[in-house]
Amino acid sequence: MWFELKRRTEVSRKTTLIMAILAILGSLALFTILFWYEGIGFLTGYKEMLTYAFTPSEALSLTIRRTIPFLLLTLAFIVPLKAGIWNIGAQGQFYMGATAATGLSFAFSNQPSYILIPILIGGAMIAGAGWAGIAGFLKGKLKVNEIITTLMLNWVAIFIVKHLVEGGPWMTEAGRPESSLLSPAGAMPNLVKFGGKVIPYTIILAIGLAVALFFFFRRFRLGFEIKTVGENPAAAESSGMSYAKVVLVTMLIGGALAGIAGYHQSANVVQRLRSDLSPQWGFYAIVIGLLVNRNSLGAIVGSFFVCGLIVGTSALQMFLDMTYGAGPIFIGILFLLFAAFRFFQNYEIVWTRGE
Amino acid sequence: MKFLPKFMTNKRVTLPIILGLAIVALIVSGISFDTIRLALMAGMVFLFAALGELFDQRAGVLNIGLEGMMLVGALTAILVSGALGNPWYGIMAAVGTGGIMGLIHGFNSISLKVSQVVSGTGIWLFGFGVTTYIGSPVTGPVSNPLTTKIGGFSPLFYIGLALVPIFWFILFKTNFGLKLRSVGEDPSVAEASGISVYKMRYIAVIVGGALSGLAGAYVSMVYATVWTTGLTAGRGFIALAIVFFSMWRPFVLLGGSIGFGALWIASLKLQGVIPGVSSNLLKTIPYILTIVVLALMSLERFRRGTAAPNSLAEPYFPED
Repeated sequence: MWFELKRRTEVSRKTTLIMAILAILGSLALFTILFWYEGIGFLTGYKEMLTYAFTPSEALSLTIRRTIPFLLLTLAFIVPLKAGIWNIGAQGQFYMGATAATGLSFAFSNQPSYILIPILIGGAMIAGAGWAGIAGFLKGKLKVNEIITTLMLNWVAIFIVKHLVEGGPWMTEAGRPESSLLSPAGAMPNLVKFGGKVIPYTIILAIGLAVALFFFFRRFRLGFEIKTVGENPAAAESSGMSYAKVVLVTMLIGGALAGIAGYHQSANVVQRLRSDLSPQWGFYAIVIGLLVNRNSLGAIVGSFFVCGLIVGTSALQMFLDMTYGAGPIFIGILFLLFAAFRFFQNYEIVWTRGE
Repeated sequence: MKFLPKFMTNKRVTLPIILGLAIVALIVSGISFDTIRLALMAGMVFLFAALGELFDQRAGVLNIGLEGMMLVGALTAILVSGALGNPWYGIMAAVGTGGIMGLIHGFNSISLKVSQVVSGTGIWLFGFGVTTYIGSPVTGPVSNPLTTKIGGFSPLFYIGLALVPIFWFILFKTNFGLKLRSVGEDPSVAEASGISVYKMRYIAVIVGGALSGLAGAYVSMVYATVWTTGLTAGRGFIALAIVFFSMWRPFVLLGGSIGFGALWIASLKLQGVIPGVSSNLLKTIPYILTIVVLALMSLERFRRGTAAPNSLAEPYFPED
């Protein structure tokens, strides 16, 4: 053998970065097969993707705006994972947040912005946190597998939204499967407008939260407790930390963050409640969260970049006549390849001379 | 949970709940031979996938990518049967691609020892993405579905029914089954007694994947006979739920599949019949029930008789 595998105990930041870059480059390389299959020159394809997603005159504004929910959902996945909890349910928490924002917007539709916006954001956070809290409570108190409960809760949430807007009480009078328009007073004011899209202040909120979380995990006692529980639950418990509390708190934080994403998408972007508000973004966030190895500052960069690539794939459909589904297949390849790359989280290759 | 009488423990609880609900649902939606037939047919979708997942999990491998494997199987069956003109070739191809998907999950989670959640989510998103892309030109009715009927049911239905006792027998009455379960319980002990953990787990994921592929083929070739993006509509996740719900027992799993099948059909039939009852809200029942059952199972009183594989979802590191 020319190499040996060595168990790794700690993953350095450099390794994380290399793994992330290699996974993205590798999936872009695999993506070339699709270009070849469709008879598109791969340089043309990549150029189209990247210029569309990252040029201010084209879709950069869309990329930035869509980074907001991506980032918030990524944080919703990252925070519980710091305590070793797999929150696969950001998708459901997102929808509960959007549902709460919609309901509150209808209930308080005649309030001015400065009252309505805090109500909507607060309501969305509580709804998302409550939804995640179910799984957090069951995990902390009863050791019920959180992966399964969060997955199940996703589907409950999506069917609740479908119930409300497809034939239910909130359906538009026109009979389309969506709610009527939310009160414009509930939308965040706009930070900038360019390239035909407005970017609301939620971007500041999302980035601010990411930065705040970064310091929360470095400076605060609770942040330290969460990390300890994630690394060694038994040791954490024996030094007086409550496992149940830590698990519940991380899930509540995660759910609240996903709830804000739901508020943003329903009240600011689409301005309606729909069952396709988040086409599986809650799961895309898992890829991003793992790519950046649970670092919330890294999540800002990671979600912007991955979001850009996904926005870029829509250019392939629009301008190069590529078959529908380029976006989902790209994220699928990226995730599958990255899953394999996670091997290097456990092992490092030590080159030997061979015998 | 002291208020519950003693006999209401473990599998004596879950099955009556689900079968009771299913019967109520069927009665309300107008019981007839046709409704029951539809319920059984719908339950079969869950059964194939859940049986495969049960096999996986008994060996200690959690596969949350069922849905993706089903989608790939469904589309493969359509494409191959369309190209070769025989639906059975399509179904066999679906079983094969399902097995390959299982192999990928196995490679990730057994050989590379990646978290099974990460690999499973990857499998799901990949299956969804690849079928969205490849399937978009064939959206619409399936050109060559499996229309053969024996006594009103598709032959696949009988295959599904037969698989339950077969799997039960393999898992609990053969030496192979004993080895497989011991790998799911405690891999290091199994390894020490001369069982190859890798081999057993690979067999389990490939069989599990093949059955998921078959479940997908059943949806596209027999049950729905159309292709749309995301055809399986979350059924893979219900199948996953049923495995936990059944507490890893094949016959309870059969009951659960048929019960959830009945609920699925009732949710479609009841839409608009009774004001205030919504098909979408009824569809949440399987998921909610699963959470409730998982919570109950975690209580000491109910834990007896459950058979959760001890090292479920834990990668096996030989050197530890």
